[in-house]
Amino acid sequence: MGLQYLFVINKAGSLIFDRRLSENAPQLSPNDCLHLASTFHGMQLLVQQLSPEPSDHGFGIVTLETESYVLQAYRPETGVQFFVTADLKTENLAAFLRDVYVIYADYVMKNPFYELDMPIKVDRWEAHLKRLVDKYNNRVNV
Amino acid sequence: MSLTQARGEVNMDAYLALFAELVSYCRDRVESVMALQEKLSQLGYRIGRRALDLIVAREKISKRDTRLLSILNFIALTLWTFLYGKQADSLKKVRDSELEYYIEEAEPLVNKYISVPADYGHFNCAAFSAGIINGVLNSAGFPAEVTAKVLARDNENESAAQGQPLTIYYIKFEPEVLEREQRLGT
Repeated sequence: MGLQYLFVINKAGSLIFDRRLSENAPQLSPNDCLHLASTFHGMQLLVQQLSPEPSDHGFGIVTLETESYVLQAYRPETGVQFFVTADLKTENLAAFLRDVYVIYADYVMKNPFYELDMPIKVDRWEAHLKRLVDKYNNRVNV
Repeated sequence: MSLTQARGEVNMDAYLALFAELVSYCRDRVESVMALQEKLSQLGYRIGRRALDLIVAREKISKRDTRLLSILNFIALTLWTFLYGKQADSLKKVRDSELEYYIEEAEPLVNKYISVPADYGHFNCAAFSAGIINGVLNSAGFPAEVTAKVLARDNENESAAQGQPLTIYYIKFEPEVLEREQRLGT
């Protein structure tokens, strides 16, 4: 059980951040990540067209379960989108994404050197993300 | 807000969001990293010049600081508390010099959310705070030059703050300050 990959995509659907969160996660090339992110974005748009009414859980794809992994997405009202893939039966993914959004708002958006909608290359964001992932893994494994 | 009213707290995140915008506004209007640092420092300077009067009025300070050490203490205690709600981490004197002092700070408030890209070298957004110190010193009659520097922390230091560079506010007074200081005697 554990997290695998985190993706952040911007309003236009291009990938602005991806990170492999575990040694056990399958190895993806940068190209694969781009591909996955834009595929997911397309799917998300499609689902939102089919079901334009937000449910109690959110809007569009919120969770996606397959035989080998789960995917959880979080889309704040601002248009940026976070999604994480994890092993089956990993819990609290929604809370994890919410925490990721909080540090994104702090360390990416309040950093004057970050260009909006561009790939995220911000030291403090990565450091805090790492800390968050560690904290999450510890809580899950205890 | 009138001077006699108690001062309210300012939300830190709102302040830092505004500061981030200030930095990127300046960045879009300068040619070089050096110029950006200079620009931030000038903005701080203008605030510092006014801040001295405001602090004196608000804290009801009746005595004017005329000595070097007392003005430095004023910076590290009163000004810092006024600006950031805490005292400065440490105030030190540069060895072998009567005119140079520095204030160390592990994490300046303004840098809390800021990651400086590698190609900006030793650029430090705390240049803004350095400008404020400079403004206060100048309007108090202590002409000086204040710069903010980044100091990479050596690895033996406490692990919690490791990797986080230390900010130094380096204060160099003009020689005339020392002359006056000697005239005033002990």
